[in-house]
Amino acid sequence: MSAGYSPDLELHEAVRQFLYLEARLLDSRDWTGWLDLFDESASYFIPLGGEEYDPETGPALLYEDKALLRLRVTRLGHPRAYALDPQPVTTHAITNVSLTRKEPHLEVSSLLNFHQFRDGEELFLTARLQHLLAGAPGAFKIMRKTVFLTNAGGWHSVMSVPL
Amino acid sequence: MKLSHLVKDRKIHHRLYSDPEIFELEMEHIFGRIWLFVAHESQLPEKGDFCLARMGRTEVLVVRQKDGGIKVLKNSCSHRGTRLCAAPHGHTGAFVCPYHNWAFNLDGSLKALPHAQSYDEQVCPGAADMGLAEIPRVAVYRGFIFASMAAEGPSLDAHLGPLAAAIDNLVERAPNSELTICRQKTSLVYQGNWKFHHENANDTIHPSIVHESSVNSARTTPVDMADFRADKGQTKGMMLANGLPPQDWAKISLSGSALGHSFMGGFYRSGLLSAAHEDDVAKAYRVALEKAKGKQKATEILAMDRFNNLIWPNFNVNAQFHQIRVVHPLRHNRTLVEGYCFRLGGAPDEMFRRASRFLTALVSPTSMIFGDDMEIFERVQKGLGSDGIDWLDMSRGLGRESPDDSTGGQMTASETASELPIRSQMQAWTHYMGDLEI
Repeated sequence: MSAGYSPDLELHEAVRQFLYLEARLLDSRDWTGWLDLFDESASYFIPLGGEEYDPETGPALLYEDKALLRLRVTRLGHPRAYALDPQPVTTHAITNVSLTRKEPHLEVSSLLNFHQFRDGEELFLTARLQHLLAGAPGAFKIMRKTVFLTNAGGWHSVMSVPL
Repeated sequence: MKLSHLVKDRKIHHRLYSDPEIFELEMEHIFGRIWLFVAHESQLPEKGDFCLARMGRTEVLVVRQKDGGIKVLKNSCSHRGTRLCAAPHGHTGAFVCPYHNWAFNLDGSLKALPHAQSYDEQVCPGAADMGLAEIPRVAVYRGFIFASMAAEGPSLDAHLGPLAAAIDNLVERAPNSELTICRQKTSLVYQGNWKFHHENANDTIHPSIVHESSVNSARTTPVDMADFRADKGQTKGMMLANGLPPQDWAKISLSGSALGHSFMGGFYRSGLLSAAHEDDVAKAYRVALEKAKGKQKATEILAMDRFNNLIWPNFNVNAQFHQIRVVHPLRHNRTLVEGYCFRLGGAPDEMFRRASRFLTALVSPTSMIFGDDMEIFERVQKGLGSDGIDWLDMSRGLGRESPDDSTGGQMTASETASELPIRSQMQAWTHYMGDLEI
């Protein structure tokens, strides 16, 4: 990983604004708007903790392509999704954004502070996010998003809202 | 009052779920006596290999001995009670306490300690009573390691009874009859009583209701099957499966036994994982199984179409999809569910990918299916915890039962979408708890 310093400040700012946009879409429950940020060939991966392994082979907390994400987004808006009734209120706070690679796609590392409040219960999670972005500023598409949860190897309660 | 008064033919008192005092008694008289799954042998192939496990609320070390046997030891130093080992698994020659460096052999006996001259002869290497507390009974059934905190009691074989067939089926689904457990497990905590898990797992009415959101999402979202690159539509098929019409759910077989065990028939009628659907992967697997076991035997193995095999009180074997779940009570209103999948020796790699995806889609904390079950468990706990009702009903299908021929009459089969599995669990609960006074 490079030091994270990018002389290309405009590009860096465009990436940062893109991540903020994604967080805003999730927190405003604009699930289809969020899904639209993903390229058709994208994957979304939340690994379990422990040794490194290939998501194609081992179990994961979540590993979905865009087709499966479409199903997930439909359920997120379904009136009888019990785990989302009452609706969670969430904050996705993005920090420590750095460009870690530029070719062939932009690779972006950032940190996520996630807070959820729902039905009197609170959920706090932190993670390092890794986005692989294609396209130009203003029209980025997520090719791959990986969520490295700080507590990936721990116990979890239900995680309904995408991180 | 005797606890047997809290369980009737049709009813369960809410205190079985909401009373911390009863929970304490369950830890002593159920989890402190009965055979509990602690590990699979593939986690401990070499002498000196160990892993951590839970027996009720007790953390234990499962250790492969120098003679190849297995011991299960409490993970607490015999000196000050310090938690001895914090690594979830590993390989060692001795366990050394981080506090005063007392060292224990693989069999739990005291091996060495610094400042030996400061202790008297009752505290010296090899001294009786200074070793780690050993769980008195350990038994292995076809690679599955169970332990019991009771020095005496029914054998593991007697405890498993007809449910041993579920473990047999999982083992035999491996062409070379060797299973390897995947260490990557899911660990899901819900704020509800441990019994809810097994009461729900073989309930065949709830799926089309509780899982309506995932069934409908799979039905209505316009996606071409070819677009499911990651799993070829497996997850979608799993979501759809819960949407069987009521008359079909009523035909899914349910069997229960006085030991508390139960199983339900399979219900994957279409899609990638259904028996009717044989793609290239399933075919290559069947051919490998037939080559290893002979065609007739392979056909028998694959014909055992069951979903959850619940071994009371806390083990769930899904042989067909190469999964297990272990349910750990934490408090009367807090439970941990661990999910594992297996690699079948001699089967195509893709079979393991399917097992992994099954675990990810069904038992992960992000599951579009299980997440709704967890929400229901928490709502039941909240409803009972607020003294909402005195008695829970478990009468559905009562009296509409007959001997289960598939188990040689050792179990009882239901003729409808019955709560027979819950009644079986309560029969076992009453056996272990009923005579206690509260």
